[in-house]
Amino acid sequence: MNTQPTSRARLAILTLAALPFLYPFYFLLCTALRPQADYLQNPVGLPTHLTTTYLRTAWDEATIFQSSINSLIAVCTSVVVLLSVSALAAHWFLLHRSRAASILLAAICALWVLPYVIFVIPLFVELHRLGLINRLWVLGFVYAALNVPFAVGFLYAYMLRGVPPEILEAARIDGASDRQLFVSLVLPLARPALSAVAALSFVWSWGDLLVSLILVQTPQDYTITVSTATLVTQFDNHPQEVAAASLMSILPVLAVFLVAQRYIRRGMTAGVDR
Amino acid sequence: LLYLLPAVALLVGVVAVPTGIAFVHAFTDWHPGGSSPWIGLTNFRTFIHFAQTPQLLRNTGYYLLGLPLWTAIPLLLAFVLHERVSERVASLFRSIFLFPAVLSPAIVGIMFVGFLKPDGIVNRTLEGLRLGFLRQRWIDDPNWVKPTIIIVLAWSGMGVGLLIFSSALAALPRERIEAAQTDGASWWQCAWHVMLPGIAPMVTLYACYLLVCVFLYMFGTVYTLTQGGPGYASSTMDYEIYVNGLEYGQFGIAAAQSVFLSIAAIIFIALAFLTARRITKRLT
Repeated sequence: MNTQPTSRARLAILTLAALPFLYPFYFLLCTALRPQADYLQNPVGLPTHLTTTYLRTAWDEATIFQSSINSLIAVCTSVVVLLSVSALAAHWFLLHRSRAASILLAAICALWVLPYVIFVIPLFVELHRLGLINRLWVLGFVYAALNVPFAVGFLYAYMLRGVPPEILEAARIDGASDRQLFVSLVLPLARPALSAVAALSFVWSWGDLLVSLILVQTPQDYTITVSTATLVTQFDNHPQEVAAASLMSILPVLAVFLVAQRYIRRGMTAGVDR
Repeated sequence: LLYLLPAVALLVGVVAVPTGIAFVHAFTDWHPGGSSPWIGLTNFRTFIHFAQTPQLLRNTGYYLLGLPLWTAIPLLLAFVLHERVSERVASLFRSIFLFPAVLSPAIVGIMFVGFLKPDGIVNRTLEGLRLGFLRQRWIDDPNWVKPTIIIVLAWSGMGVGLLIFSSALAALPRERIEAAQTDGASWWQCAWHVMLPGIAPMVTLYACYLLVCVFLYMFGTVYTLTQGGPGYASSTMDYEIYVNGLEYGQFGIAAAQSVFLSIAAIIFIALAFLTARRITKRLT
């Protein structure tokens, strides 16, 4: 790549543009960690003392630990279910390219734009009747279903570019079954896309408020977003507890995302650098 | 076909069937678990006569004004980061801009409630910079709440836009750009005449995606940031569906609103896609 050396002016402009993106995190961090007197006197500058009081209050009040575990259970279930289900489906679409198949694919992808609010109420009613409310694994399956349209579309698009049809044909002529094709050819080649889907759906499900607010209503099963939101309404005038809770609820996603963004970019630019 | 079955079953069970149920019950006085007598179009008439309905539609129209902003800012940054700075710097800044993208609308809302309060960090920072005359009641003033939400969404959506546009730029064939450069085109000419048309499909697609979000996914932001307030100044249809259905127990009306919203959204999105396709064709 022929890149020019970075000029100072450009760097300065970029830094300026980046400030609004860094500052809120810095502020959150400071607010969560400084004593109240310090906050009241000068909420904007650097803290003079550090304290963990607010972290601990938020930890206890919002039951951060328990809710994180709950979120993890639901989100991990959903990622596993989502990956297996949509990889299989995308593989099927890769092998079958009839008109009917492409219509079906379009229909699946179109469901992506159906807003949650429309079906979440009847879904709640039905699940309630079946006694499946307040189950984290059910929540996981629901998340998985919500992300299926995106995942199938994304994986299929990736496989189209990332799995050369000649190789597929060649393997078929050599007598490989569909299952062998899937396990030993398509799946390994699609790994970047699979990681991207896993990371994105992790982040989305982790941050979901609406669905878990409705499907999980016992406080000990609250997911992290719900308990943070609940804490915010209780501690309306306690900005420091709120900051501490927000901070702790975003740390896991930040970690996942920092690790995964490489894969996400690679999954999106597939077939380009070849 | 066995491969396809799990995905389809999951979608039908969780998405398609409940949607069908909602659509049917839009025409009944819906009492889940109880009897739901058929009442025809009464639900639709009821909510169309709600005093706030025109306000909701106006709000959605207002939020649509954010589209050019939400598209242009990441686009501009993607250009600046594309080979105008060294790769190390570019990837560092891309990560920074991506930070907010990992936060859910709900968490963004929670954070910004604190920032935007009358005595919140935004106003205090303005004072600190001796710009106190700019301070506003950002989310409590009916005139400011919608622009504020547009800016908050610009903040949180920027990373995704940047990611998409950068990937599209990186995928452009290098020959055409180099050809233009040998012909003596300046960098900006090159960006405008060669690179922008090259990624136009992605740009229009992203704009369509934003359109979908404005119609259907404002809930998270509205719920945590303003609860639709002050009054109905920042509320949207999808938030009202939630309020009517789950807070007031007006399931029938919520279902009718869902039908209305879906139809409106489908019409707008179809129009947008058609326009987008035409624009893309003209450019390429």
